[in-house]
Amino acid sequence: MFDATQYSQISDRITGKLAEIPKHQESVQAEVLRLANEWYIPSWLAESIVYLGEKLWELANWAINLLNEVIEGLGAPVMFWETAYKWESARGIFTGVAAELNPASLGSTGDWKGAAATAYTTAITPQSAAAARLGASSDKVSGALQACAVSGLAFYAGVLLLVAQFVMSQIAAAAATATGVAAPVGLLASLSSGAFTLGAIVALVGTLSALLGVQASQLSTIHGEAEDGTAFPGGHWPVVAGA
Amino acid sequence: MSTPTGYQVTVDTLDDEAKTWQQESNALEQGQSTVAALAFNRIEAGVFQIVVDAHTQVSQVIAGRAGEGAAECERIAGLLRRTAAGYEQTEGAAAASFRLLQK
Repeated sequence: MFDATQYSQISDRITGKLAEIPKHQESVQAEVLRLANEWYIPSWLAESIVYLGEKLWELANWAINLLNEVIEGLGAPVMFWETAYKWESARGIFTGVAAELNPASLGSTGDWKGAAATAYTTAITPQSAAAARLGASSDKVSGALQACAVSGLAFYAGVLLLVAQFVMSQIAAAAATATGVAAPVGLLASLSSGAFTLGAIVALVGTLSALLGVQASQLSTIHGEAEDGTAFPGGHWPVVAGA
Repeated sequence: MSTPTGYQVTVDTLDDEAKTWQQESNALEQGQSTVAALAFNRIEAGVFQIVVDAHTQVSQVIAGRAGEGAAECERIAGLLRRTAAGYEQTEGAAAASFRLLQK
């Protein structure tokens, strides 16, 4: 299920965490440079500390770019969810028409007979069927959008955990600079855990893309049904011939 | 007036049915505008873009079908109203000539 309140919390926390990344990026950089210039750090060690600092800086840039792309779609799941509900009201309108255009209650033409009268009475069922088809299609569109909203929620819940982990790796990097000559070990650990976390975000994007691809092709199928010859001859609403 | 018989029943039935088709035409028109309003216009949805695009297309085609349906139901309503009017006219003319004969 999609929970709009939960979603908006997740969404707020992601943007909040994302805003922390550049701040930590700056402070890690400052700490790395401070440590590299300490009197007790030999120059060969300072070089590797500076090198790791550069890599951490680049990793944070990657994180910022990646997450900025990821949050482009942050508004979509809520929009899908709300739109899914509106499709249900469209479905109600179409199935209502299908029910009202009932061959059992319409088509009693009394004395009116002949080609035009026959054309009319035989037209009722296809008209009703066309409206019913629009109702069924609307319901399916609603279902596809709901599935996308739910996948979106799961995706961003996963992203939130990973963004939080990434920020933790930045905090760990800053803390590692306090360990003096042992700093490269901590910096390297932060670098690898940060890179691993970003890799996991990329993998999540891949999983979501696959799920969304399924729903997009479902929408194309529904599109095809709204042009299908059974309910819509020649891809259009049935027209009463000879009337 | 006594219970309507013959042509009057036909005229009344056709008028009633014309009303139904007109109502359903209005309903389909409402369906068309409801669906047309759901198409996401030019939004940036990042990874969700593929769904947004497919959805825009499907809503356009469903709104289009509903619009066609509204037009067709209205045409059927018109046909029924014209047929009913035709009956009334014919019967009216026949009654008039009958009265002339009775004079």
